[in-house]
Amino acid sequence: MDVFDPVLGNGCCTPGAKGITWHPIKTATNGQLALGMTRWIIENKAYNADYLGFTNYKAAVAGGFASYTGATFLVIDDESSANNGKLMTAADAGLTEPEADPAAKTKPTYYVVMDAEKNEAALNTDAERGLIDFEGEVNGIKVRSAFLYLKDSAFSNTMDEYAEICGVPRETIEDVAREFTSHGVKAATTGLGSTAASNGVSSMAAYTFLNALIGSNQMLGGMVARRIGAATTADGKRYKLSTIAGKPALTDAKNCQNIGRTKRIWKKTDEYKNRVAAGETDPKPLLPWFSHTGVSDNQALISALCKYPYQAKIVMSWMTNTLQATSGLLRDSVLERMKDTSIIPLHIACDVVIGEHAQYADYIVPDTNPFESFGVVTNEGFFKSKGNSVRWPAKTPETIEISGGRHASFEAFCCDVAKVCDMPGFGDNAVTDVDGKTWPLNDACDFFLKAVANLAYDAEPVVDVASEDLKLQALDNLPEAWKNAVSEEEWPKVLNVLSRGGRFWPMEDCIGKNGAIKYATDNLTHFYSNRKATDANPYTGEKLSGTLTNDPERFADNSTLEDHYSREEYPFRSTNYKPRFRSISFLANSPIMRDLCDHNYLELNRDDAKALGIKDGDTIKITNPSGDVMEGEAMVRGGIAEGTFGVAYGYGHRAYGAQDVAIEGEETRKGDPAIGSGIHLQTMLDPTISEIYPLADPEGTSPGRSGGMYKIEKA
Amino acid sequence: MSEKKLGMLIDLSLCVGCNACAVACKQENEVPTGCFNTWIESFDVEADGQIKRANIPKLCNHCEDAPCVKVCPTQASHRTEDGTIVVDPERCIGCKYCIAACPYQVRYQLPSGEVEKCTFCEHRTSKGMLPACVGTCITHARMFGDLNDPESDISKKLAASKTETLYPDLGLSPRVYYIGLDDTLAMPVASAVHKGGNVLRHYEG
Amino acid sequence: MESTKMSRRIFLAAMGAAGALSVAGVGISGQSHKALAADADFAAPATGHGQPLEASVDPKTGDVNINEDVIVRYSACLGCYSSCGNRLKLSRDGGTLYSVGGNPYNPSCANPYLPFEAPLEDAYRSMSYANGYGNSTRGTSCGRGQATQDGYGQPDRITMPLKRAGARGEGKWKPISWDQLIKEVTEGGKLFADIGEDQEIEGFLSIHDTETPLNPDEPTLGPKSNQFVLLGGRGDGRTTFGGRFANCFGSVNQFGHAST
Repeated sequence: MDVFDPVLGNGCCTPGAKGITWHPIKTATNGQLALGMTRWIIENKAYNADYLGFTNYKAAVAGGFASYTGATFLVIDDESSANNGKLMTAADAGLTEPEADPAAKTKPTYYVVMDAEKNEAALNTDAERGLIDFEGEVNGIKVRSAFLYLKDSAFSNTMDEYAEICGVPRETIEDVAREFTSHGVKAATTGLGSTAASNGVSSMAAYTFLNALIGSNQMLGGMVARRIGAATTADGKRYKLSTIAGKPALTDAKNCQNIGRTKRIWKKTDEYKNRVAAGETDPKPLLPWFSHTGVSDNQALISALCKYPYQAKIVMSWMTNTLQATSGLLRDSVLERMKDTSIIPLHIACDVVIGEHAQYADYIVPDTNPFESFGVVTNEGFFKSKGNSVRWPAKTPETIEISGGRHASFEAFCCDVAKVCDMPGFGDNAVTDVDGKTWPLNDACDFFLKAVANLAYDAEPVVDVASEDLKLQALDNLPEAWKNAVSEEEWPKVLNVLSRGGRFWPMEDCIGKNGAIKYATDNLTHFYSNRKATDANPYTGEKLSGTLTNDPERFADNSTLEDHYSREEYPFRSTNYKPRFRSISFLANSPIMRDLCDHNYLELNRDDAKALGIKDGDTIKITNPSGDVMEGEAMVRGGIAEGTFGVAYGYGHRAYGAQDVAIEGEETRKGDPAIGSGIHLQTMLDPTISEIYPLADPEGTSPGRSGGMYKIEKA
Repeated sequence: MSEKKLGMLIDLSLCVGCNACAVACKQENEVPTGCFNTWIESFDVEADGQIKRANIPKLCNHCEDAPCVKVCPTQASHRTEDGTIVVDPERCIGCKYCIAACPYQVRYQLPSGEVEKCTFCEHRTSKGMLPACVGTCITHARMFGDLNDPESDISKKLAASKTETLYPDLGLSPRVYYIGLDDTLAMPVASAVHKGGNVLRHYEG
Repeated sequence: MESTKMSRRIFLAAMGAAGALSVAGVGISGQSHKALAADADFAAPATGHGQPLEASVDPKTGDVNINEDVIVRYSACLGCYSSCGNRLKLSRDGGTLYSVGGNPYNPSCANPYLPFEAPLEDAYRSMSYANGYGNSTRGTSCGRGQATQDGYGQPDRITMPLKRAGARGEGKWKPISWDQLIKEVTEGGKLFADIGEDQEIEGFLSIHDTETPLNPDEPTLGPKSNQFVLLGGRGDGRTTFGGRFANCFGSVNQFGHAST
């Protein structure tokens, strides 16, 4: 196993572990490492050509795999075509799509490939195998296989250049690529958290692409898609929890733009059109727009603070600390805006403690804590079987009792506001079961126990709870409202699932034919994304690449950090990671966690430290080009890449119990400075944006918590 | 000789230094702030040109020839039937002889005077249950059981592995065994040594 | 396997009084447990420390003897966003949480994990060192998962609705009733007139308009109701509820922990 990480964590690279090697990699270069490996794999024809040739899921499965790729899909490379740069459609190719199934909920997408057998263009569903290296004309239009775009991208740098960019020896990249392609489908790459850089979008694609090159996606020994579970809080076996009668038909795509400026191309906004109509040439937005990413909470908060593209009149922050968790936002200029009631007129926080974000609320709604709340979860991580964890109130909530025998919570708040506003989906007749009967929704149990019923009945229904289990876990004494939330027949099965804390299907049942993971669905890896390829940077008009690229860290207008600041002056990059002794923004209030580690460190490579005259334990000062200064204790170590400093997040709180809380009628709760100890990484601001805007991925929205530019001095 | 002889085996190649054991112990035994019945020492080492992260869990070794028991003037520190060394708080006079005598430095004094340390979670292990630290060890680095039962999980792994103990030259017959301890300790250190996440010894580099 | 033949001895008799006493003897404030128990197996520890025992297990036979004063429930963890399972050891009345561990039925906590159908006594055995059990089948939880008990158990917990009683960010609050909370956030108005703020604030009712564009010049921005923004929701299994509320209100603005 090879671990590429700028910082050596407390993990599997122990002295006694055999065959596990840590490679210090320059932070924010994961995409480039993948491209280097890809280059070697393509040059040495070490990819699985058999697998990449399959044009559709059915053919790939028949060939012994569990997924397929878009390697064979043809991309229009012809300036004379209106669809230049897009994946070719049946219409472009002069082919006819099969008639749509009128009963189907979603319409299938068809792609055009060069049939390897007949040597003619065909729909991907009509051919079994296609060419991955076709360059030529189809229906008079110049096209290329999608695979070639990845190849071009990989070949845009030499192996030595990749080695230089990543700070990893060329031999290491080659050796790892060789090893990775030497085990058939029994190899995998994966990573988490490495996307939090201003070029993080490429690191996302990197893992899937590498697995796709060897056909290991959804295979035993390979990589399985995350979170395979039952339909629980969706339309499931017993209750329709996502179909809601009377729900407003609002979607980002059509008529309702999310405030975080994602899912829309800048030139397709009304603002752009209006400004052009008013005579502006090539207008630029106040803040970036992102067409091909999902929603982003940090961008949403920045939008709210800038009242762009519109004002957020009511912000509710629920068990979240966006302000603290977004590196670069916890700064005075932002806090001034949080205080300004003309910007966010009504800010409601729902939480169990008052964190940095909730500190600026107008109202605080007490929420249930994780031992008092419901939740039906699909497990994070890469579990190849199927199942869901269920969280349920194992103890009585400590929040105040409210009407209907309920306790104050987020769910109760939603139900009560919904009632006053006469909203669909809540109150009487809010939920429909599969037999068409309607049920009320007035509290968390009314919703989540139905989700548990969906889980209990998924595939084969579970048996009723055993009577001794009822006694052992005191399940015979649960609130009457819980029992009433499901049918009499369902209740004993729901109890059985609660008793086990969820339901997981046996591991041995998950492996199908040829080692394919049985619960995997129609899994397609696109090497070329239409959504990316049809977007452009809103500031420069530069088209985005349809595939994985070797982009360096960038500001919003695609300019590099070095275009604005001197790398000589700010030679260091950060790596900001999740610590063992805190969580994302929470657990600083645990005295045990503080006892185990009272503060975090600024971790520095020993050679860098020597050059700077810094010793382990010295107080050092880190400055970014925006002038933010962080001071903390140096940890000098071999286990960090040169040119990088490491800092764990979850430290450096200003609130969350570090501040005084004065509640009328009780003695002021004095803040505990120990909760605020340590360093909160401050990401630099983007100088190309006139508003307060911390460095973030111009394509993917991710905050630039890793990478950046910093100078380090002895304090 | 008693029927049972309880002991622990820690495979250092599996310990990832997550400190779940330390948290579990603090909660189970209500260990006061600033004190630890078990902890992990973590540090970077160099091995064949590579940097690795070493993690060494530490706790009372429940020595067969325990110096703490010998020096205790009131027999507060004593051995139970299964070989566990515990302190009877009713008999402890807080003289601290045991703290000085313990080469593993696992004992501490409460503000109220009594001395405490790891009990192997005697209240659990005497009833067949895993100690808190072992019960939540996420990688199964820690194992626990009856060293006298050749069929126990720990006896089987001990028989199949090369194991070491801390400070064997003292001849105290500790009952906490390690896999990979000597190899780890022989490697040059490349960072500060942390106890949990706090610095125990700074790196001199 | 031998385990299926093993008997379980549950002490059902004489539990009432003793049970009540032992629960009362336990506190979250860290006193020792000089509890009375009906069975010698569950007597208070001689060292004066240690949480009440959930069961005893014979190391050789695997026989399980369950302490009826203590219940063990399986649920899901929220020490971070990895959505593992957890194991909660509680007083029988559910009033006191003794400890948090891992769920042996959950693949995020145990490998191999217990089959759904495995009896609860197997789960007790997985916490013992009986041969072939806990050393290989235990359900574990990392330090973060366990420390949630510590973190969420602190006295800084907010249990009643609070309303700002000073400037934003000043840290001054006053407790209000649930009904007042709902009334004020829905109806809006000069909500902070009592502290000298004259601003008229729109409540949920005022912006609950799913037809009128929030900006007539830019209709794709959506209706007025889209000016409600919900930040929150994560891998906690509750997010869909927040999504349901935002969507039914007429907003697409629900943001989970996506990129922070």
